Amino acid sequence: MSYFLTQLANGLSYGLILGLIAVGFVIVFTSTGVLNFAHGSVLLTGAYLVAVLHDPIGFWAAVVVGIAGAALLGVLINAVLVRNLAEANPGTAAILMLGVDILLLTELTRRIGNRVLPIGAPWGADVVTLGGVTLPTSRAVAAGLAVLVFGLLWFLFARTGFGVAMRAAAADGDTASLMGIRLSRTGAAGWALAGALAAIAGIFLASFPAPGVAPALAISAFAAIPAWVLGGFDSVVGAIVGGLIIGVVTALAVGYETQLHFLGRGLGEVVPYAVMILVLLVRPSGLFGREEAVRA
Amino acid sequence: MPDPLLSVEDLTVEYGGAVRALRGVSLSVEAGSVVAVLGSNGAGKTTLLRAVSQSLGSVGGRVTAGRVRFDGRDLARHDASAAVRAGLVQVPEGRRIFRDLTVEENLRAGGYTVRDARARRAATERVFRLFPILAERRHQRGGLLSGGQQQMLAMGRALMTSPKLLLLDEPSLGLAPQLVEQIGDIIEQIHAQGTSVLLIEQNAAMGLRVADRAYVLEVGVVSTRGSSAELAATDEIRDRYLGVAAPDTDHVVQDAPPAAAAHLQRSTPARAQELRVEDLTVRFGGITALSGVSFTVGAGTVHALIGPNGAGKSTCINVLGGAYRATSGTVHYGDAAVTSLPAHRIADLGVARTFQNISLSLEASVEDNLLVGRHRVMRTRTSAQALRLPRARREERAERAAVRRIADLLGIAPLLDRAVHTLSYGDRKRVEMGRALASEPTLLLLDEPVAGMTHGESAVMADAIRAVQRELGLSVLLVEHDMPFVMGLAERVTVLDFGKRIAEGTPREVQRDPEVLRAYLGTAAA
Amino acid sequence: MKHRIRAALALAGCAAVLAACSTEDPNAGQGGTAQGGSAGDVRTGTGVTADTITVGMLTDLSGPFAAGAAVQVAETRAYYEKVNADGGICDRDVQVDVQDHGYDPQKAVALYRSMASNVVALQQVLGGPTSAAVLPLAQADGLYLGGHGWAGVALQYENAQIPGTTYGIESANAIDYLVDELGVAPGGKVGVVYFVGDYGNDSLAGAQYAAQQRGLEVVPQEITPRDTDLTAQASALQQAGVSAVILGAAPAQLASLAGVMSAQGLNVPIIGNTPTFGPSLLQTPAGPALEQNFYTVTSIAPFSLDKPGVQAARELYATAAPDGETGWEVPLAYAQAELLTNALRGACDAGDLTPEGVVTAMRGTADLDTEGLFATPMDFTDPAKPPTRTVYVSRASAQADGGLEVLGTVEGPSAQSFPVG
Repeated sequence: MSYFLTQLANGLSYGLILGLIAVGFVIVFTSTGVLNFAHGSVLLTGAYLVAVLHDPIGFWAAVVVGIAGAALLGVLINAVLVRNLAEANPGTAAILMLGVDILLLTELTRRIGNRVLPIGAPWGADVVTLGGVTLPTSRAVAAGLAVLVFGLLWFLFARTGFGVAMRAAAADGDTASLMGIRLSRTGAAGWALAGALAAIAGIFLASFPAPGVAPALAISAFAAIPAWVLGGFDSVVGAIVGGLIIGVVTALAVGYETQLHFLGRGLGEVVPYAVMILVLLVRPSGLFGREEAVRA
Repeated sequence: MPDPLLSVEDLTVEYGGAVRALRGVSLSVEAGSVVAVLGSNGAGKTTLLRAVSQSLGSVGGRVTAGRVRFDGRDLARHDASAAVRAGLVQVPEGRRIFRDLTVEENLRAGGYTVRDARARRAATERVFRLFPILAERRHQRGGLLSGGQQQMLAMGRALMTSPKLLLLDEPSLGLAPQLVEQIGDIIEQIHAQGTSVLLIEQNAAMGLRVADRAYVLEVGVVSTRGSSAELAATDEIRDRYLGVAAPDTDHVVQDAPPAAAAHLQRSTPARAQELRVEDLTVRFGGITALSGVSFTVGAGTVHALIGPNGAGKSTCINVLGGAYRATSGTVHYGDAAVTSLPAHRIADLGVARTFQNISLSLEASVEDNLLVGRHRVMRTRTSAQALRLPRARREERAERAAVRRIADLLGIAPLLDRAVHTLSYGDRKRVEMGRALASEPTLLLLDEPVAGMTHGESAVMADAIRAVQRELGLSVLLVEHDMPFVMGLAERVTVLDFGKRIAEGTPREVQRDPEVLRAYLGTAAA
Repeated sequence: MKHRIRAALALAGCAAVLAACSTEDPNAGQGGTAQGGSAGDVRTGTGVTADTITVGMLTDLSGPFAAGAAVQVAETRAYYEKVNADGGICDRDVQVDVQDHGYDPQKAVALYRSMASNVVALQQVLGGPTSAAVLPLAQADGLYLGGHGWAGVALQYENAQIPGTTYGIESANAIDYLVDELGVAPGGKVGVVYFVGDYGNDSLAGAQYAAQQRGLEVVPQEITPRDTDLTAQASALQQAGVSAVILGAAPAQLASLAGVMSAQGLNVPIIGNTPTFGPSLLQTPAGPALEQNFYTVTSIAPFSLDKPGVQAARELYATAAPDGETGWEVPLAYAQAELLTNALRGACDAGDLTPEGVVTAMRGTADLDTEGLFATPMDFTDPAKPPTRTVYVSRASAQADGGLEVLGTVEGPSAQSFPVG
């Protein structure tokens, strides 16, 4: 039982981190219509900044710089590339983002090399044990912080004028601009938010039980893509729920792989996509996606 | 005399550097007045509003000459947001409320530029006083409101910034007569509170009722201007936009034999059959959209379905076309049970439809959209077309000729090469109708076929429908708010309210039914 | 899609790093005297002129393994500079033609085609997928190909020179070491956490064979280079009650696995294949756990080994790249250059300094002493057998240069009998 609970707690905390990443995908998509395939390298940039700066300026200051840096990077990508696209074609933008990702990743790989840079977090390799359930302290902190961040996001989007304006712009940009909402601002805010969320997720993905910042970290952002898609592409709540589902299912599939060996090895790799496809078969627009079905 | 609040001087607007939508248009709105712009579809009315509100960019338009001065300032080089901050707000065509946001959040988005929280609260209170129904539904999502309430929300949202000038684009579009009247009253109230209004209307009666002055826009130029009273008195306006000499059925049929009628021919022998709707009930979640509705559309007749917004008319059409499933009850077309067939099988029975929210390929040309409609009746296989075999080429020529005849009939032949997204709402309606006709249906379902059209245009549409109905012997079931149109065309009328049938009979009988007057037509029709 | 491509890339990269190691004997006096040979008597072919010998390196200077590859390039260049300063080979200077394939097999093939007509041998083709693409072409051209890693698949190629032994034999040795030295009792369970692909599957096969021989049970856990949080795997291994773990992956996976296992109180030995370890891991939170539990079995000598061959490699590197990263790449690059130099000298002595002559010379070497770079003398005479079956065993230590302290060499019974090829 405690084995099950341990795996579950692990899956939930990992799922919340995936949720942070997936929400970033959603916000960029709804605020500027871009499938942001450069999200992984933005995440890596944030984590990299923390890893190289925690020694000279201290961990918490480095975290602030890392989050701000990733947010700024997002804003820059939006300002320099996305807004200057002649045509707002999602395909073009997505391919452009792939290019940005390759560029950033190559540079970061060059800087990091084959080293693994420790993130320098105060929780190190500590674990917390509660009623037989063991969880790395970093994961417990991540889970708590993610819930807090989601709460703040809710407050932003539901209670502040700018948040409501962002939602309005996401729903119908043309009309929103008739209300005096500047799409350039809501777009920039969307990219900044996504970058900040990615950096937070990156810090925890590079914390124990992972070894530190390595180029492969950028790839782990893509584990959030099934969460994003199954949540419904344009729904923040969907992204969070999707993250939790993918996190738990992955943890359980790996944890019980021995019992599930008739399904083959390497199950954890496949399961997120299998779940995503299953959900899409039942609900083609995802769990919380806006229904695009025919309305007369 | 003080400067006008808004002055448009010699304005020329182009789309994509090719189409000139406005050519040297000038107009002015004095502070404290209501000005209406009338005109047919495609005349450039919406373009004019977008040019004023500096929102042409998002639809690919550009001001190439002339200028827009508002409150003493040249608005060129400012964006839509700056225009809003200067006190000029546009309510877009089709309402365009934020469906996933609550009523309150919609208003909040509208008041985005108001920095002062107290002013925002006061504005909200003012909007709620103007539209009490919105206060009641403040926590509901915008998408759940009825059409009329959505129009109120769209107007309330624009009023949140307490603008000096309100631009309204077709506020009565798709609304029942009673609601049109109510919206007119509200515009007068807004005006009375000191906001100037520039209004675009296809419903000229409403437009002239509320406006002090009016302009008539025709193919990008101002053709007539004057006070509302002067304009309402001119013969041309009465004829084309007001339809005062409302024609009765016989008159039109004898007087205007449609020229193109003789050219239409079915490529397959198919005959209209009787459509029987029996005890039809549709529920979505907890909401009952239709409850035990029955009626029969005789083979080869025109039947209208009318009723207030949200009465269940579109739901009914959607069940007949196969888009929605019936919860209970049956629909038979001839011997076939429509309620148990998927949409494409229903199309095979010869049932074609148009949509309220128009569903066309926007990038494709009008001709291609119409050719899509021919798909059902074309004989050559795709492979033969791909190989461009002689037989396929012959057929393609024949198909293009057929499509041209339909376009002539609907008056859209000059538009055949245009991409659909460059067309106005009303022209798109006609293209959609053309596509439905192209499939040579035996039963045609029309959802608001003349919404957004002037009286003159809807008369052309009525002629066209009558012509195809006679030539092809098809049945027509239509949903429409335009009463002169319905009364002049339909042989029988079924009236729905809150998902129930409240009356049925000939147009004359229905028009006198007190229940119908109360629920739908309102005082204007009495 | 994208992430699958990246995963494949990353995996390939790991394989490439692995493949890059090979060693050759330092000054092992091969009887013939290359320096003294008279150039006029030697038959030459592509890549050799009257005064130069050109060897090629296809490596990854812009892709995921750029950092480790750069270490190897620096060491290799320094090695040949020294050779040239000492009189060259066969009275000729050795030139190294370095090309960057960026970890892209397509590009590697294209570069190979343009390089094949200018070089007498390939010092290195770094990367699993890249070397897999180039190996058959080099075989058809009869071109010596070294530095391609330790995948067992290379045993199919006459011209390919494995720098040590295969991953399978490394893992078989790991099992033998667990039973014989670390006290894992028969009937016990051993977890094998491995990358999907050539490298990991080789490692798993060796472990499974040896486990069967020694009466142990294997609990396999397949992962990808994308997995850097092995919490679920560690919990599953703990649940299964393993008394040791063999890891066929990369440093990121090692740090996570060791850290989590230790945090869960599962303090059992973890033995990794050569590419598993990187010295920077000791600075991560997993450092203490690694020092407590981590062992590695390697074909190539660890950086800190106190033997003349490795010492020479270290000294050369200290002058070539005083601030460079220290790790197993240094002795590996040195050893691979030694192996090729030995083959070139042999070819010169045989009077046939053509590409075929170099391969023949390599295959004629039965007992090459590398002064500690490899654990035993190397025998290249049978292409289907690895040149040695002995590995170094080391454990993690923050005190040792390169993070590894050498415990000794192992060639267990299962490693001896493991059917390769």
